[in-house]
Formats: sequence, C-alpha cells, structure tokens
Amino acid sequence: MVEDNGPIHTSKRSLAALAARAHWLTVEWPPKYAPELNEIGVGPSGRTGTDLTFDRQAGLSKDESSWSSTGPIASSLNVRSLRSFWPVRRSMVWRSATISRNLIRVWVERYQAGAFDEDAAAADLLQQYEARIAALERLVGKQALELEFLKEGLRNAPPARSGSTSAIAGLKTSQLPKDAG
Amino acid sequence: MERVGLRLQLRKRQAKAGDIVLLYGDESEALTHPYLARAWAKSGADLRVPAPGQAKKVAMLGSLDHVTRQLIVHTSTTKRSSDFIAHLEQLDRLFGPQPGR
Repeated sequence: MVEDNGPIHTSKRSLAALAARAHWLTVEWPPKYAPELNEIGVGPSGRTGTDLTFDRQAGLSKDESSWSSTGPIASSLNVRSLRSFWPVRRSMVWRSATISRNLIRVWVERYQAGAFDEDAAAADLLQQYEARIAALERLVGKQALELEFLKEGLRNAPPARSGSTSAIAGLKTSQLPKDAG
Repeated sequence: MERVGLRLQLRKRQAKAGDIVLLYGDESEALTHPYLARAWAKSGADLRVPAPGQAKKVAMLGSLDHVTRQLIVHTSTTKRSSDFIAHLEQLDRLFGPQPGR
C-alpha cells in the first residue's frame, strides 16, 4: 500500500494498526516531495486526494468506475495518461494542477520522444541491484556459518600440551668432577 | 537517471505479475452543497437553487488498486485515525488473510 506521510497515516494509532497488519500489508512511503507517485490523485493547488467537485465540473463523476479510473486530477501529473486527455483536457489539466501550460507541453513532447522509457530501464537496474544484494547476503550468511563452525571446532579441540612434556628438550649436561685433573 | 520511485516501479511490476496487490491510499473531502460561484438567470429574476438538507463535509478515505483500478472508499464525517483504521478494516475483509485464502 502506498500512503503519503500525512498525520492521519503517521499517528500512533494508525501506525499501530498498520503494524498489526504487517504480516500481509506492507506500506511504501513515497518521498514527501513526490505526491505524483501516488496514483490515486493530486488535487488542485497541490492538495492530495480526488476532489469530487472538480470531477463534477469535468463531468466524470457519473459512475464510480469512470471516477476511479479516469479521474482528471490523477492524470494531471501522470504524463502517460495525458494521451487520452490531450488535447481535450489540456486546459483543464493546466488549471487544476496550477502548473505551467508550457511545462505540460514539454512533458508531452518528452513522452512522445520516449524519454520516460528510462523509468523501465531504472526498474530493471533496481531488480539487478536487488538480485546482487540477495546474492551477497547469501554469501555473508554462508561465511558466518563457516566462521561459527570453525569457532566451535576450536573450542572442542584438545588442549595444547604443557612445557614439561615437550619433546623439544635439551640433553642434560654432565657434571664434571670438582677435582678433576 | 531518475531514481525517485524506483522501488515503486518494482512494486508495479510485481502487481502486474500478480505477485502482490498494489494499493494507493489517500483521503479527501467533499461538500454536499458545493459552492456555486456563478449561475445564469433571467435578468431581474431571483434565482433559487434547491439545496435539500444541510451543507455537510464528507471525508473519503480510499485505496485504488493499481491493476484492476478498483476504488475502495470509506466515507465518514470526520477524517481521523479511527476513520483510517475503519478503512484498513475494509481492506482486511477484501485482501487480508482469510481461512481458505
């Protein structure tokens, strides 16, 4: 589940409720400066959330499916879906998102030139990185196991021999008689 | 290379492959009697717009399924943690672990 960092989601009670569902529900918190990553919508003047009044003006709230799938606010910052709205909804998109008309034109041009295909490449790169991290984690785990095994072996090894039983001992020197000669 | 949302890209792929259900959650408010800024009327006529009931604010807490585009909405008069938890319970019933699922 992708949730913004709003207080309703980050309060103690909400976090506790999310933690209670951690076995099946994982929350992805997008960066605070990237509301466009949340597909459910970005409202006028940057407020998140789908605004029913706005939908009504756009004539898109006739049924739930059209409201949910083609909400104009959701598409205002989603360049991929601009194709269906362009050019009919262009002025509406520009007004609703309070972003420059020129910027939208630039985005559309970039999309048409295939500039946003980088996202797919980036996702591939991320998958490669994650696979590499998983391989390294497996290696570290294996080495930790080996280390533990060796330590255990050292603990169970017989104790080192004492100095008195050492094989390295010199020959006793013979004592000369005092009155020799 | 744009790195914002890389993790999300991965999640989207997992959702498309059917490994996970990816939901986008958010909340909003709507007025039952939206503000009517301008209206047409005959010159000199006293225009009356029927507005039954009281003007209220309705809070909506929703989650959008990335793949099916299904929108699950919980409506309430307030927008508090308890309402968010009620929405989570809604999701429990739809996507949470159940016997035989």
